[in-house]
Amino acid sequence: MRKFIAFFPSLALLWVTSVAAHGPVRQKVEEKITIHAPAPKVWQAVREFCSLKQWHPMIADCIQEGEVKKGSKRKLILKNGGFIVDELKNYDEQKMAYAYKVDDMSSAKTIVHASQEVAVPVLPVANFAGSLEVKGTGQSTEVIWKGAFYRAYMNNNPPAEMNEEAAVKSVTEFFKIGLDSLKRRLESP
Amino acid sequence: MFRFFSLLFLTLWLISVQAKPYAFITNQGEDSVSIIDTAQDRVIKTLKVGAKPAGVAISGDGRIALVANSESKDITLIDGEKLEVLGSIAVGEGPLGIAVDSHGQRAYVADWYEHYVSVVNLATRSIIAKIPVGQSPSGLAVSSDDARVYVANRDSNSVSLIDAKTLKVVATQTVGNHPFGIALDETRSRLYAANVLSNDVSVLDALSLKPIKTIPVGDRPYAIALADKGKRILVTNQYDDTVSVIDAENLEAIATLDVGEYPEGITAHPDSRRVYVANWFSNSVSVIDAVNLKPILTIPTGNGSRAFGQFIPSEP
Repeated sequence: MRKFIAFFPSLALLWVTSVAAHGPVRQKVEEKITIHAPAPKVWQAVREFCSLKQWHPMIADCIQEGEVKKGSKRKLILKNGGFIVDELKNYDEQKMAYAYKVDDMSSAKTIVHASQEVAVPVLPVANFAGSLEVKGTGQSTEVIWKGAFYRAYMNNNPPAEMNEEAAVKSVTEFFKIGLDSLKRRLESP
Repeated sequence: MFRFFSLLFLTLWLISVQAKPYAFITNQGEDSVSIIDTAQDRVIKTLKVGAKPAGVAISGDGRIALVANSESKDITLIDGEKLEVLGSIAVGEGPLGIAVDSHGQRAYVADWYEHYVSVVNLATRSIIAKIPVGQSPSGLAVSSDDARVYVANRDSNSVSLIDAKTLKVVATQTVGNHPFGIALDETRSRLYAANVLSNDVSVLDALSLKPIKTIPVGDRPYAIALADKGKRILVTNQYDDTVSVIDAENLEAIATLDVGEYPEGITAHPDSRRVYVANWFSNSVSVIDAVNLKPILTIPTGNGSRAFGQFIPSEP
């Protein structure tokens, strides 16, 4: 019964998306949070490429391949199963910022769409590139997390799980949950 | 006093007459075009166009500007002098790259999904041909005599040359991985293609399409502009937030300039010194000096500025 009920909203979504069907358009998400702590302290908490395992509630573990420099990789193990492999594409200690891109992801599930089996990645996006930046003066610091990506389904007429709305929603959530937790950790006495 | 004011008015009048050329920047996130007056380097007007515009083209004389709208599947015609929307023409399933001939009579539109180039008669507003090309065609270029049309076939890793008279592909050449933006240097008879996935620029002979050289650039090169009469080749590196500058004589990168985030569309000003770069993530346009190799200023535009194509007329 639960499955049956769950089926209907997705059907409705599918209909909406097929009406608005169009080619993939790159999406962007920018999330910011103000943390009441000096910038060096905030940077110290996020500067390790694998630090997410300490402060991001959705991450169970992180494996760093080699030292942190351009081209090195991290494998994020998600708490609800699956993984994301990110490659560091820029690291700037001076600016307290780094940029990365997603190299590989496991799939969360497989669905049938347009008579084809389609794997839905754990983060329903394609060609993801992101950056994390720490900016601050005195006791107030801003952490800015940005992502640029396409929806996971690169052909026309995406399924609801892999359209633009799904992509933006999951990235926004991933950023928000992480930043909120980081703030709580750093502001706790 | 009177003399002062009449001088002032004369100056203002001269500025308003000479206020040109304009740059047409497509903002994909808000379905609009920001029009920059390059004499003042600021946005003087914003026009509503079709849905999710990315590609842009302008005739050499600046009379007509065209925008390819990926979601509404049409192109918008803009009067390049009055700065008003003239209308729209429906084209295939995935209009992206667009180019126009020197006098604004014919437009070429690459269809990302249906793998052809539409040929549009702008006077009758009708499609006169659909030329099958490689997979997911993107960037386009037209020779100044309007005889040759070039297209990058991104997913086929090739570029094709179309005869504008017969409307047939006459040559195709394999280039790097995922060519997107292209540029034609008629002085040196060369075609350049930016290869997004192999992080390099392919240099081809413009007539035979014979490969001349491959030049490494930054991460995810997207589009190319030629400045200083083709002496300098400028390439936007999307993942580096930079522009690579290549010297056309020895075909080597000589500088890397910082611009905004996720730069895409790039066009040289007819003064052959200034180059304009649309920054998709930053919602801005960077103006750089291609001769002295330094940034000049940043102009705020609209959400998701892509401006993929020639967005400033080539004639002053």
